[in-house]
Amino acid sequence: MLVKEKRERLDHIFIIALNRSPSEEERKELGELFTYAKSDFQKNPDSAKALINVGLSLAPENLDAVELASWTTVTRAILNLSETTTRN
Amino acid sequence: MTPIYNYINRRTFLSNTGLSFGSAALLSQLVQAQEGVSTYPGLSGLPHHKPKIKRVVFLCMAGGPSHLETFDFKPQLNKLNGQPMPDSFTNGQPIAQLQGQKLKVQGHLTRFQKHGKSGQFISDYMPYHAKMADDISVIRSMVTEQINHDPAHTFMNTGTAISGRPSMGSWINYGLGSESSDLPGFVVLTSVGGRNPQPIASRQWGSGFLPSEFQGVEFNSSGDPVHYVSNPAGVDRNHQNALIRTIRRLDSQRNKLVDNPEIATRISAYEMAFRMQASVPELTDLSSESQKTLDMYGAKPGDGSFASNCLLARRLLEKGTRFVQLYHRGWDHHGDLDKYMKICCGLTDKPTFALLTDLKQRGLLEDTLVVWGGEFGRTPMFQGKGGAGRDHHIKGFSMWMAGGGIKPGLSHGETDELGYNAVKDVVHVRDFHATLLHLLGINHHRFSKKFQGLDMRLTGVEPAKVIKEILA
Repeated sequence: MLVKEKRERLDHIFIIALNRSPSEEERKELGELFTYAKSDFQKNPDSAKALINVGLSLAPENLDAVELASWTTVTRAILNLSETTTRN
Repeated sequence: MTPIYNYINRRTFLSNTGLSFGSAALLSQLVQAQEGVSTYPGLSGLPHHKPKIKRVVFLCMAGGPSHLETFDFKPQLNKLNGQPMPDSFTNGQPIAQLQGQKLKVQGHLTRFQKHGKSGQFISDYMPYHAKMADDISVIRSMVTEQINHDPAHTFMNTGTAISGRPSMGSWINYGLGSESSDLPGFVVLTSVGGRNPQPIASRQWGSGFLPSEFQGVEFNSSGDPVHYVSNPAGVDRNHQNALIRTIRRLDSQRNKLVDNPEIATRISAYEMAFRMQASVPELTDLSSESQKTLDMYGAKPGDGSFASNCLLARRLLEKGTRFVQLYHRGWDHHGDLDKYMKICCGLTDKPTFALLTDLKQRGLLEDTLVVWGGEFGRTPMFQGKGGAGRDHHIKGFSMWMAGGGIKPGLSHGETDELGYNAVKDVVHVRDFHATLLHLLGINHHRFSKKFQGLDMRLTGVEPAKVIKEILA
């Protein structure tokens, strides 16, 4: 299970994208993805920095790169869902 | 609602058939693939009969190459050069740009000679085709129903001028499934060179009312073949795999609730895209090709030429892509026919020969069909946008086929003495489609999809027949 803060953050992202709360199953899938991403980026902090600097806007320096990159992976998943990009 | 078709899941398949991993060489593509990855096996009940071919490459000479400067030799055309075109031919006939103009006969702009043991007539513009005279079966009596480029392409691809129907490559992949787990079953490449390249709409390789996973995928012939094929910085293949797996699981959960075939399509598209991130760079890396091969095609990797596309076509066919379509856009020769024939043939003649030769040398030609042709032919009458040219013409033109199941070195059908009307063994576009499907093991009468209350077919409801005479 996600700790409370992570769960709130995940729910917040999910609601912004999909206008509904995630199901327990969806929370579990995305939580596992976050855990994987974080362990991967902890092992490769340069990769985390590289990912969060893709695009024109630079990542704020006061944010933890590994944490931000891990959430980036989670948001990539959410933004790529069929439900996000189509009406159903 | 029932699913549009049944996927074979790797695990289900293995457990149902009791095959072990070691013995299932046939399933290598499934075994090597990622967890849960499925390949579409085609419709049950297909093929209807034993196929002669497994794959097709369609070399589309877009714009409408002149049959009267390629394959269709008419001595009478030269005799009447410059004289008024007899009304008996043209009265009441559809005409594209020459409407209201005085029509006069335009003789051949080059010489024709007989080539090979078959003695097929091939023009001097195509010296490499001359070498293939005994390999190709030339249909000299094609007819189509559409006199302008876009509808004529639509007709050639879908069997109707009505936009939005599935193209032949989609039909074939829908019917037979793909032989490649990591590349699309229907790939399109385009090149330019010649007169005023006509646009080609991506609708030409659309899947219409068939599931959209069967639509053609256009690769860019220069630069990155597929945009964004690489991962973003900082993301390696394992990381990307974890992401795609999560998306697949969440989309699958959603699909249990809403049961939408487009979500199933999307899931398979994401899986295919992930596999293409590895397979496409490998496909387009021509470093494994010998200099001899590159020279035979005249291909400079990454130049976007028809020659490079021919080489990529061979690599795609080798890797199991079912239907490859190359468009060379430059054959709309309303004027300066001589100049532009030299350019277009200069760009396509030798690579076409190389493709056929290469397929033959690799043992692929025996179960591959190669098709050459445009959306229509050109008038026996003069048009003068610049130097002598010809207008669009639909009542008679030439195409050729070669490879598996085709009688080599055959001349099939004839046009009249001026190359206007196909008069003997007339081959309609629908007949071509029926023959194509026949070679793939499909009876065109029995290959349909329900849509808007109709059993829709590639060959439609008007008469269509397999061209038996050209079959080996």
